[in-house]
Amino acid sequence: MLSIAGACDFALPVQKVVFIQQPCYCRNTTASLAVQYEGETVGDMVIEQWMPFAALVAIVGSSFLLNVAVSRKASDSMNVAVFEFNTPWKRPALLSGKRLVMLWFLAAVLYAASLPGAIEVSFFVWEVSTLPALFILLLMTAAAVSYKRSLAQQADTQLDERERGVRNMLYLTSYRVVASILVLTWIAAFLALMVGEFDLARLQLPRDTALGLAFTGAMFLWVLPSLVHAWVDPVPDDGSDEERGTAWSAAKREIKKELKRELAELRGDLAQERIHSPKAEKALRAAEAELRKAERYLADATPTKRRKRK
Amino acid sequence: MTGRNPAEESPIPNRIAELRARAKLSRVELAERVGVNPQTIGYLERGEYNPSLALAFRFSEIFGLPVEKIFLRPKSEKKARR
Repeated sequence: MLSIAGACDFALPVQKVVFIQQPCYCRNTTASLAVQYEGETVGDMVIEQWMPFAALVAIVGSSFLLNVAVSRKASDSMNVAVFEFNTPWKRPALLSGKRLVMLWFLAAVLYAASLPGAIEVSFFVWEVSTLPALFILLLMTAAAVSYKRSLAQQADTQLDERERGVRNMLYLTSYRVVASILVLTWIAAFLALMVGEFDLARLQLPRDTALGLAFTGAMFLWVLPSLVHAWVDPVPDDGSDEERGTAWSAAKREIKKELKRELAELRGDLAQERIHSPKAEKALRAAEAELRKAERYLADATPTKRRKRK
Repeated sequence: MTGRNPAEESPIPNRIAELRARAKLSRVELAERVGVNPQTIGYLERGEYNPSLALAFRFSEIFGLPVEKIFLRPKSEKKARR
């Protein structure tokens, strides 16, 4: 039961208070700190309602200060990444690529579903799982943002030319994703309001739920470039050549092909007697020797074997 | 993924992997000399990224070879020229 020590001269039904989850503020504010829900203290309320908001303010604020406002000066003077998470451990496959993206969305849905009033069920699990869900969402966000040395969040000075191109492409793709979502939402809203005659009053959400959804949305916007990165480039930086698939064998094929092509060209020229001279024959012999040497090297010196040899 | 990714449209074969192996350099060492991240060397070796002219010249300086000996013209272009 809601009770405010010596301040409120009325009482609200418990069900209504639990649904709205708002303290009853009265004119006599001296006693308002003593607000207490049934079985829930002010401390619990502050954690549940304001922790996501405080986390959001901290993330957006620090991101703005470091990446936008002073990024160039800070990174130039310190010669370090202004916003970089390095993962010293080998990233598990579960937290890479499309799996990471799906896990992040799962965590976001879990968190949104755990907000009061978001899902109209009264299971015990939903009542208590807001904080664990928020923790999982934050964990997934950290995993996404740290993907590939948090390339998507880096300043220009920390990236080489390829990485700058990648980062710019990530933001372009993110913009397209957000623009598509907005357009689709607008179309859906238009159809619902104009064709389906949807009642806007049904959209009224409790404050906690609205805050939680806003937090999830802002988190999505922040982490979206990293999620796009994980989606389009699923192999993490610490992945070996073997994980890259046939990378090394493709490189071997390319080298052999090129050497054979050069050799064939030399042979062709000699056959046509266009450049038939001791110098050309010497060049041919040298090319053949190079090919044999390369084949020997490539045959027994894959990256794995070289590492074993060391 | 390589940003605008021109390599997907017309990959330019190169001999960076071979030359690096001959010079007995690791990817990290070569990356430090060239001034890029080691991952970028991997992308270059796999032909997943076409470098800028400035980067190509840096490779040329390091390996002591002309650019055209490191980065090879794609076959399609050669046929077109003939």
